[in-house]
Amino acid sequence: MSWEMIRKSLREGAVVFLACGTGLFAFCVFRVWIVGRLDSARFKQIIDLLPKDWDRFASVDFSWLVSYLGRVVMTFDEPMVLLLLSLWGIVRGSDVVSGELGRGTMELLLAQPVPRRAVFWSPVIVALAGSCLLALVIWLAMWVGVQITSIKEMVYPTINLPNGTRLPLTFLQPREELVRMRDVIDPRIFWPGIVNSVCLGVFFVGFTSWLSALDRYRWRTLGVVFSIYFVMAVFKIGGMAAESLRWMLYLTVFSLYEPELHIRILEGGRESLWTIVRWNSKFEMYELGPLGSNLLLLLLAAVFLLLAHCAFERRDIEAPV
Amino acid sequence: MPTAIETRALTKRFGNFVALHECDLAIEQGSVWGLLGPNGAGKSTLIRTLLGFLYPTSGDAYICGRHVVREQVATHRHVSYLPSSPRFFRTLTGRGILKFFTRLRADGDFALALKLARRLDLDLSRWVAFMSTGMRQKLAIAVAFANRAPVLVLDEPTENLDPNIRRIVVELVGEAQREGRTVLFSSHVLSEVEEVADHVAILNAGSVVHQQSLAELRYCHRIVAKAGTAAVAELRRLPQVVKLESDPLANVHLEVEGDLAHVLPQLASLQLSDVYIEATGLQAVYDRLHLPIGSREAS
Repeated sequence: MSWEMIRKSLREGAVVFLACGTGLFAFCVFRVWIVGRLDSARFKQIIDLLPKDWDRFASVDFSWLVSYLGRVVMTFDEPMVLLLLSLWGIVRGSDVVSGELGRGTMELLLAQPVPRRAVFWSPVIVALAGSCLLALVIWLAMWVGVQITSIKEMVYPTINLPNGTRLPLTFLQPREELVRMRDVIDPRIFWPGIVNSVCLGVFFVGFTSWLSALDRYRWRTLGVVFSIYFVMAVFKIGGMAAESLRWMLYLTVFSLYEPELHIRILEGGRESLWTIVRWNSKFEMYELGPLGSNLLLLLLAAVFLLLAHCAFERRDIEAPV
Repeated sequence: MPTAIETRALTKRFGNFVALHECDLAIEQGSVWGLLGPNGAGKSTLIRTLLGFLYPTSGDAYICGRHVVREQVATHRHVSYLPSSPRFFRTLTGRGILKFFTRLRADGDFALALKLARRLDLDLSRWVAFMSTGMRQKLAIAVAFANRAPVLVLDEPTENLDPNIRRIVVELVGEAQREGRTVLFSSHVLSEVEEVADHVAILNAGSVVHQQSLAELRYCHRIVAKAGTAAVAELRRLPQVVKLESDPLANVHLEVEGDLAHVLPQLASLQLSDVYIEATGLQAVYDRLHLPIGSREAS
């Protein structure tokens, strides 16, 4: 792999990375801060008013989602976060082959003593590294958000027992107190969500690179990928909305993106995170575990990247128009 | 002399369209070859196949003994390429482009690139995005000549250039030849080819229809004269005559090949008047071989 090629890809992706990174950081900090502005108890009252079957739209129970942790974790599911994270993978992935071809810069690159695989993998590696870094930006932003936010909690008066424990007096009127969010939420618990985000970003790099390797116009690659992206988003919503449409969940990659579920599972026990398939009591397979979802995303990305590599190695490079 | 570029029955098809048909070329090391042909004749396809951008449908091609498909990287170590209408990364300045491309090659020479840029009067501080077509062409020339590759492949190198820079490009090709490098360049400017090349290959409808040494071309002449029917019949029998046309006004146009010293005594013995002799030049050869492009569709 040529360091010059890597540097070129870094230079070309820098502006998009900074834009996506800044957007993600600002949004995630703000999103966590907003959580602190709304009391969980009041939030629960709103949730209680929703029809019972609305819980099908969440992979975790509503009672957990309305907690401070649950609402902070929902940051991962915000369309803005999802879009910015995918945007990087799609924008950079589309540039790998059809971007260079469309700009007419591919032939001068390939005329140099650089193997085609280096021309292909250099931007792919930068795009993959960028996806990892953007997921880390999300985590960093959420960490900052948690550090700077205070939350209001209803606290019962307590008495100190001789053994040192504090006993809440629940028969008395609770009073409102400001508590630092970092005392309630440990940001380290977000890591399964970050890993899941990395895997989704990596998938979009692989998928878009494959379409880019088959195409010669970047605008067309982008159009096709975004169409598929929105169709998959509709499939996810449709699949969750009705039991009869559940098959749609098998056709969308967003079924594998469940950061809130993975974090909820971590809360229940670290070892459950390493499950590939989650079984019910009758041992009939019913869904992928956190490790299974992440591995499938990475596997799909690897397959698409391999297909893209083969397509690029074998294709003719047309003259620039 | 060993061969620098060789093609054996090289063929490239795009579906039913034959872009290159059983092309055979053998270009000796240290020679300068001009590649001529009308638009769509297959010049760029031949060059792009030689560089491995296009995979041949059949046949083989070698540069410095390396197979252009099976040993692509090794081939590219021996060849430097100037594309027609070159495009560069818009996020770099001219200097950045030169640095990038000279670093990609083991034989890349940044100092030489800077020297070439000065010679071509190129503003290297300008971003590629703000360069004119001619400036990008000059930048590409600096990139192509800023290394020691033994083979230079130039696709219409003087396109979009002003006459002064055209002159410099012609000089650069001459200097490359003096250094023992092989140059293959395509062009539509016949005078440039005549000036700098020592051989030409003319393509038409995807086939190499003519190959000629320009030294031989200097012995080709066009003769215009008035001649009677008997004289025309005699002229047709001359072995040196490659083309003969006569008109109703008794004007006869001949093209002859070979030393005039052998032809002139024979002409003197015939009853000719108003005799006019001129060097044929590449244009006449080119015109003779020019065929309509439409004849190329594969059946």
